[in-house]
Amino acid sequence: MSLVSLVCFKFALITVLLYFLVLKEAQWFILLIANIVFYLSYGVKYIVFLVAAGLVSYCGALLLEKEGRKPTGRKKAVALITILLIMSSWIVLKYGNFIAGNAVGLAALFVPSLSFERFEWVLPLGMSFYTFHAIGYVVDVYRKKYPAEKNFLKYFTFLSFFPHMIQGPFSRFGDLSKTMFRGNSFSWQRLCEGCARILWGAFKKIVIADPTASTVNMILGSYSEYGGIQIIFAIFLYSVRLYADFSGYMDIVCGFCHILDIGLEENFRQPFFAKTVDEYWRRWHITLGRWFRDYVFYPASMSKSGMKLSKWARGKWGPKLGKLISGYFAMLFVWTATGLWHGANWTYLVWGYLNLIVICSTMQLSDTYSALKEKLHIKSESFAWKLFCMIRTFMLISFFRFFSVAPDLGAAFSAIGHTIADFRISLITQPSAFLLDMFREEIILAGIGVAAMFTVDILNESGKWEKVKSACPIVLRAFIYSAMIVMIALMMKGADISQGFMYANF
Amino acid sequence: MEELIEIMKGIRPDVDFETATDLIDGEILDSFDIISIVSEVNDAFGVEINVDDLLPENFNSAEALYELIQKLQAE
Repeated sequence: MSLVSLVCFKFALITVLLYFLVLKEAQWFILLIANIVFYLSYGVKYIVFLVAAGLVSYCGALLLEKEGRKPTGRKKAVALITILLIMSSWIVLKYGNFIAGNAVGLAALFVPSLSFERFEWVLPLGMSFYTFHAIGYVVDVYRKKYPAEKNFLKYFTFLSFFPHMIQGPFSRFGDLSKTMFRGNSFSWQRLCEGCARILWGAFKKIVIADPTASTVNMILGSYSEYGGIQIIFAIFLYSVRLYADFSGYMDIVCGFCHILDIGLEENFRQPFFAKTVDEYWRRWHITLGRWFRDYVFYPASMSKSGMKLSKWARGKWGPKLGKLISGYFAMLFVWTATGLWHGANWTYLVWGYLNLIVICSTMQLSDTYSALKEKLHIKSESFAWKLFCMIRTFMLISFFRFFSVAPDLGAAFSAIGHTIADFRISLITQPSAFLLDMFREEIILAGIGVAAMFTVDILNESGKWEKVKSACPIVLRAFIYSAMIVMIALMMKGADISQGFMYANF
Repeated sequence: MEELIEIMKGIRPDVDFETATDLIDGEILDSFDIISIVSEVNDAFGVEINVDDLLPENFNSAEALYELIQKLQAE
């Protein structure tokens, strides 16, 4: 069931109706049924993995609940075994081909007759997300952040909660359960606000992300046929498309949860306004960054090895590097994991390490940059400098995408080489060379969509969005909503389903 | 307490640790600042702050962190 389809709209409508018709104590049970129906709509057999992850994490957390606060050997063993069990099927299904392929490739250096045939496995829907939700829950109970849930069905409602299971956001049981199980009242205001946000999300998805897909795929899929300037345009367009697609999804699920009065966390904060790559990652897919910070960065940097490294570095290289070194050490784990989480491919590892190198070198050279800026009389607070930093960050992030979109490392380097060697600057005067197979109406509508999306982002960034929204007369508001619906209808051209979401593939 | 403030100021001279009460909630300290503070506090006070203690309520102010240190020293 695609989230942007007529059937999903009907499903959401029935869920909302039943949710507010039943007793407040039973609302979560409606959600549980809705989650199961939603999951089963994608196929029956894969729910086994979801139930298994739920049972293992539920039982593991109950065992950890009985342990005291101190991290005893037994407590650590229970947590470790639980996490390994939760991860096992995910690792096999997501990384089996990658690990086996590389192992066979390595062995073939010594035994040339060896060959590898890929396993035809399919990663069950949302597995990367519910696996991380389950691990987060177990670790939080281990750390005594909140007690383990005694009712398996309630816990399973959280784990299988369809709005956050396909593409995130990554929720914490301790936070989400507060609004998920308290019993919520219907509110017309929430219904209107939620519907407006759902409409906005569908608009971003259908008017911006979907129509630009074919152009991006066409250029990046056959890059050798196009000039460097076209490839760069396609990479920039890919960044904008991914943002419209992913944040559009977030708007839809947040809007739906707003109607139900369930507090789903925000995943974006105007990422293209980031002035550094580090800041970008604090604005893009925020909950994934927080997950890695809480469950990878802190444990790695505060481990005995991390602390020893920090102490040694402080003695050897002074307080500044000493301060940063255990962080860099932990970041190595974070970006290895972030890269591999996005895909079982060397391209994603390189993509992760490019982010790591830029973030760490920016921190390491911060004093040099400050001195240079002072020498060149650059004012950090000036609009021109901020704009330059934003454009630079956008270009860097887009450049990294050469690796995340390429099928293999060879193709990524070849695409970069081709972009430089065959730039074809003269094409800049021919707009038709860029938006290849898009119809004129599609270009106009998508252009309006992009302008609208960035206008909202500018207003949000300057803190004026809420004020502008509340000052907007109802007639104008009705006109804007109607225009959005018309644009969506024009783009869908009578179809009752849009393309799948890009991030669901991770 | 003075020693703790000195340590924190050494890591983030731009922050007024005497009065700030939203160091985590207000996103004043980032993750690198936190691990630096933990590393120096562990050495200076002979305690072992572990990852389970990384709660906003323990790091939102110098006073809260000092209370955590005293609690760990008493254990």
